[in-house]
Amino acid sequence: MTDVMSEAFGRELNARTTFEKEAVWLPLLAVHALNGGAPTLRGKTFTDCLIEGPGVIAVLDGCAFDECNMGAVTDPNSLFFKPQGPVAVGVVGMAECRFLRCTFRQIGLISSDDFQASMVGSMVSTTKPGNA
Amino acid sequence: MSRLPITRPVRVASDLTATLFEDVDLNLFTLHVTLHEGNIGLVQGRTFRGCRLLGPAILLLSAGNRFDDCNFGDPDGDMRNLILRPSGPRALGTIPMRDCLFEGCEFHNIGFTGPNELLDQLLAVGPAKS
Repeated sequence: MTDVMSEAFGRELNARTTFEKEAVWLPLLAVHALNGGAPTLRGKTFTDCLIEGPGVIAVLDGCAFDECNMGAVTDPNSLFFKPQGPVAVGVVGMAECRFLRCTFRQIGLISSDDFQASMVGSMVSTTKPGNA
Repeated sequence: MSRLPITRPVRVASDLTATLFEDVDLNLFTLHVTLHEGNIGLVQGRTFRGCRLLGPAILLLSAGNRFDDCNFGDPDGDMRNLILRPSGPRALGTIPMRDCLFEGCEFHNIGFTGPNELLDQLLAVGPAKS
């Protein structure tokens, strides 16, 4: 059985830039990246993946979410948080990452106001009566 | 007498279903997944004494939690860096904790969210960077 907390597993995970049709445990990805000296996950592409938490992603520059299911919420704003200081402790920073047709489970987000408005707007428009 | 700082060697908690954790280290996201029964994922009625609690994670504070003699981590001189306020009525991606007691614990890479009054109390713990 693979020891997912091992250094060898972490090195292998950190080296990957593409994930396809698999479940990805975000906190584990973040811990191994941090242990490898990378406080931010950068330049990774996730296609048809299940992104599992618990975790809160800080959406940084160059991230894209295409055709994703962000999880079960009646109010899309429940996905989002506002950091109260200039740094956000406990979140998983992601930059230049692309999510294509991914499903998110137990994942929250912090982002720019524009990104939040855009994502909330798109989720509301796709869940309104007649579009469900 | 204060238990802080925790200087003992790393000692990983072996039983995450325990109700008392003493002088051990644990990832809170692993604890959450272990206790994820009935899709609730609530961590309730646990005592943590002399523990290092590791993230990345955002704790959703609800009723009945108590923190005695704890180090909330490195806020880079500004307690606000530990606080996220929810934008909506729920808080996805967080680890809800209720009726838990933390004594002499250290938090590493962990942020906090919850009702505004609780967050305001936490902000009052330390001075904000001016």
